[in-house]
Amino acid sequence: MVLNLQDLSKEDALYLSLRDIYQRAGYEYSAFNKFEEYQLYRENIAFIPTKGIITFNGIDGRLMALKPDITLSVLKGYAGLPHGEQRLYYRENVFRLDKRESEYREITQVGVECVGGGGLYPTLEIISLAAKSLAEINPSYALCASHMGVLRFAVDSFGGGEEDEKRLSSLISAKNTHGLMELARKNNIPAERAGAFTRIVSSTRKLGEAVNVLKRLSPKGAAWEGVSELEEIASAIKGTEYEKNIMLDISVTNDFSYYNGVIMRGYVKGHPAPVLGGGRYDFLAERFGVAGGAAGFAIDFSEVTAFYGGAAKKGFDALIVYGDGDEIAEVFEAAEKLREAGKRTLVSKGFPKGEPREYGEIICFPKGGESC
Amino acid sequence: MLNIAIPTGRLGESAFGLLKKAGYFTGGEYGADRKLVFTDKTGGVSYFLIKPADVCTYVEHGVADLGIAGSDLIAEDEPDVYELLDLGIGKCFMAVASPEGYFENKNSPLRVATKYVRVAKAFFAEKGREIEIIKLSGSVEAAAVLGLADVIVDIVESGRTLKDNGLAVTEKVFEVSSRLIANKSAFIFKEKEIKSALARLGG
Repeated sequence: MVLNLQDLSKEDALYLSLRDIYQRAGYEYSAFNKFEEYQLYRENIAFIPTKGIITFNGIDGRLMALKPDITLSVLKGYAGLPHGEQRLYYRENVFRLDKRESEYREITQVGVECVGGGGLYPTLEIISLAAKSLAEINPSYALCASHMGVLRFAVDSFGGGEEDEKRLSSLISAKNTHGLMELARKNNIPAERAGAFTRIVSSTRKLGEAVNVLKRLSPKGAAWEGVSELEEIASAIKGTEYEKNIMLDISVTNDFSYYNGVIMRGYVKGHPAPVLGGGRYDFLAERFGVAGGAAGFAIDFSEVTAFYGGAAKKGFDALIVYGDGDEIAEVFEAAEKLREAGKRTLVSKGFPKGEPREYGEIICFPKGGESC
Repeated sequence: MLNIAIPTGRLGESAFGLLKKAGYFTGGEYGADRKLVFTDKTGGVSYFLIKPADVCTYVEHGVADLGIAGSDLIAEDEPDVYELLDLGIGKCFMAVASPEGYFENKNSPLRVATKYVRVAKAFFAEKGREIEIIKLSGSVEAAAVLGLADVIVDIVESGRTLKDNGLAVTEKVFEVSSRLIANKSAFIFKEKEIKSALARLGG
């Protein structure tokens, strides 16, 4: 068989590049079933909202679901293994409602998970892999990172209760500084302190610069652990090819009950929505009895496909046109010869109708028709 | 080149005034012709005149980098955008209104007519009140006047339309004003232009 890599779609070529990056980092491919017990999602409802999950009854009456997510399956699978670090990557389809909750979508995700690995190193590895993945999609990219510890500090500083926590998270996520100042006034937070924080929320700075600003804001406060970790990360990535692409963006938020360390979102220039999301989710891992925690990210290949645009119009190396009365065995033999020679060959009864395509050569049999 | 989505109609006129004051929109007049796209090559800005309800969509999908949208529509659509600035124009409030003298029967679901389905659902869910939503696309007041609904949820400016139709505000839901919104990806890759716009508009 002659395999022409140039014939691959951009998405497939991207996947091969990503696979190479992950394998070189010691990650192994894992395949997953398309479905899981619904209970898994019901028990982790804030991680994966159950609204819109496609369910069906298994043979034994158990309520099953088409997977809306892979991470929970990774953790569930890990729980049964001997303890130790597990590094894996996957390419799977998940099923979810679209953002407007009007239709189901089948989304292809490529993801990376490092389970059972605590400490800074796995986090760094995941950040590095995320940055390298985005660079493969488009060299002009930004990996926006935040830290749940810093967000917790913000919530504790601004908020007056659970209701405020939700409101605050939503305001931070929207870089809504006027709303933050209003909340600060309501909760009697000094304007100077609130103003300093809103300036951080409103900006997207390179990680190294941003850490210094954070340190001034919370010299020894509750955010210190988070700021320290960000500082260590900034120091570790210094001088790498992706240093300039990693930003601190506090508006990247996530659920406190699952995520605890760095959280991130990836953008590529020319595409309006994030194509990558992930972070460190030790609290979620704990629920599955995983010691050491877990970190990972997923790339939404549907967004990547949208970024690449429609598939390029391709034709065939050869077209054979025949008609009623032609010697079929001869048509078949001609096609097989071309295919053996590595040519993509389309055989058509009459000239193909519909969308015009390009053909390297056209072979017409006598009864192929006038258009031939 | 920065792309800004401006709402058509009355709000658009106020938005145009703000942009003009900030040094934008130098080469043309709002609504001077029927063009929906106007490009100011000198200023490096394109303006799109968009129906107010669609501004969030244009910005979220990245066709426009910035947009001017009412906080009522932001609350209803929940677009994944940044809400950078309260522009202080288009001020009004979201309210529940009913016919004057209306007495609520709590033994049955409240029939609520509105354009703002998500807002109405969230408001009554918070109160634990069972409702039946009747989605309308305009002249919502008529639903309460004609008995299609018990109450309406809609924005109120002066309250005159309500009064003229024998309706009264029973509850305020939230204050509404126009916001400067930005596409999240554009905020990163067009940071300089967006921050300049933000500063010029008073952010």
